[in-house]
Amino acid sequence: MKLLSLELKKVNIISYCIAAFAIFACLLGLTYIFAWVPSLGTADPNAVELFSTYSGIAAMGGAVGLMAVSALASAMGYRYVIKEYSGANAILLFTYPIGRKAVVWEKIKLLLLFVSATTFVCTFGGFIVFALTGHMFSLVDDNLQLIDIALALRNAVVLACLTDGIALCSLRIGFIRKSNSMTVISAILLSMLLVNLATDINQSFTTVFYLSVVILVIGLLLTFNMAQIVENMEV
Amino acid sequence: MIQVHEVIKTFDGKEVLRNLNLNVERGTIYGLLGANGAGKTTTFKLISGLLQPTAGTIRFSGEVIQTQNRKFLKEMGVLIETPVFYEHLSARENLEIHLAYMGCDTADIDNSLQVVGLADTGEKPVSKFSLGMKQRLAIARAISHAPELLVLDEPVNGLDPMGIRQMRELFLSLVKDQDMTILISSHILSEIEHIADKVGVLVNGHIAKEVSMSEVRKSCPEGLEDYFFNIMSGGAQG
Ligand SMILES: Nc1ncnc2c1ncn2[C@@H]1O[C@H](COP(=O)(O)OP(=O)(O)O)[C@@H](O)[C@H]1O
Ligand SMILES: [Mg+2]
Repeated sequence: MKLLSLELKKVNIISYCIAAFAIFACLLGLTYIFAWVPSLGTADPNAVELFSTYSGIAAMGGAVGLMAVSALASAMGYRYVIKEYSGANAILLFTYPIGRKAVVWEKIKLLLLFVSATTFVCTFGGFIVFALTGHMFSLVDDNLQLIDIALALRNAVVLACLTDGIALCSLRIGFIRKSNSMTVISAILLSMLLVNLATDINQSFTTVFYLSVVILVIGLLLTFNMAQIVENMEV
Repeated sequence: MIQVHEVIKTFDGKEVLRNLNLNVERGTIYGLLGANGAGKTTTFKLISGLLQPTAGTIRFSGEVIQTQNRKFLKEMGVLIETPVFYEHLSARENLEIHLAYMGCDTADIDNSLQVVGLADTGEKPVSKFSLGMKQRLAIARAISHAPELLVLDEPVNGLDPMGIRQMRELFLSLVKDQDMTILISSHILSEIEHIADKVGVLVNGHIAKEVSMSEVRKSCPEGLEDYFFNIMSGGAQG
């Protein structure tokens, strides 16, 4: 706990909170645009169908949120984990009489906490704001039901796990070369691979659920491996 | 206090330190001299457990240093190469974090900042500090948890002549008043000769010559530079 509060003090968390809020705002704006699509009279019946229900709009918002938060998570992961273990930063960190692995895991805890919370707030929180206003002003040709909110809640939790997994995997990939661009690009690629599935979350929930668990477990295993490398690292 | 015994360090097959022997006695200042690339930083990293020796042992207060057991780091103040800070935080906050990591909550931060001349920096973030101020802060950080041993790798880099002199006086007073032991490196003779009790000259990865300053003063009152010049031109190998 003490280590965690130290880590919290060290990161410039405010700048990441601002970025997270920007994602929230953009995603919310995008959700209103989604709701507007059917009334544009586009020829694409799929799009019309997807965007005329609350659950469809929620899934779409979740998918976009997944990509945006993954990118932010990887940027934060680089600054906050990888960079701390490169060059002079590592020298400073390794002159302290505490276990190196313990510090790695504290950093990971903080990263996952932030990423999960951001994903959850951006997708579920955004949906709630949209759903309430949409219900009030009848923006969607659909009745808002409790089940829509329940589904959005369930999906947000799964998406949070998925983003955590992506963040951890990209972190380990970026750690190979201690490279910022490698971290961010691998996170974007991973989320692009998964984004199609995430838009289908209502139809193929079990697949998305199991995939999230698998990716999160892989991410954690990779992090174990990274902590071991840090333990024996020479700087 | 520090005993380096027959230490070899190789990087990818390249031998950087070969059969290094070095003894630092408690309550003294040991100056490690050497040209750029001689292996000073590597030696200090080995002593502070940042690197593992390829062969040989290093003892700190009689115990062999192992990277797994990091307790000994509490008794060391380490400044190696260009120091880094949490740039968005003030000098005081940086020291607070440092002390928390060190597990030392009784230290007097104000005093540490004051002795290096940074008492009036207030809330100013370290990103606005000059090079010299950062170097002073690094020294404050190294001494703040009152370690037994200070490992200072070229600590006065980036300081102006006035600052160098202040730090020199600070180092002397730390040894005299707080019983610290100091291991300090430099590539400039004159930085070392005014404070060191003993000087080791590192050439190509091993100590080519080790003398106490009292010996130097006796045989060559003009100072360290002339002493070495005499030795070198007197047929001793360089
Ligand atoms: N991590 C490393 N990998 C490979 N070579 C290194 C590494 N660190 C230092 N060296 C080499 O070891 C030699 C000594 O370096 P260093 O200890 O930094 O010297 P000094 O501090 O005296 O200038 C140099 O030739 C340097 O290139
Ligand atoms: Mg050096």
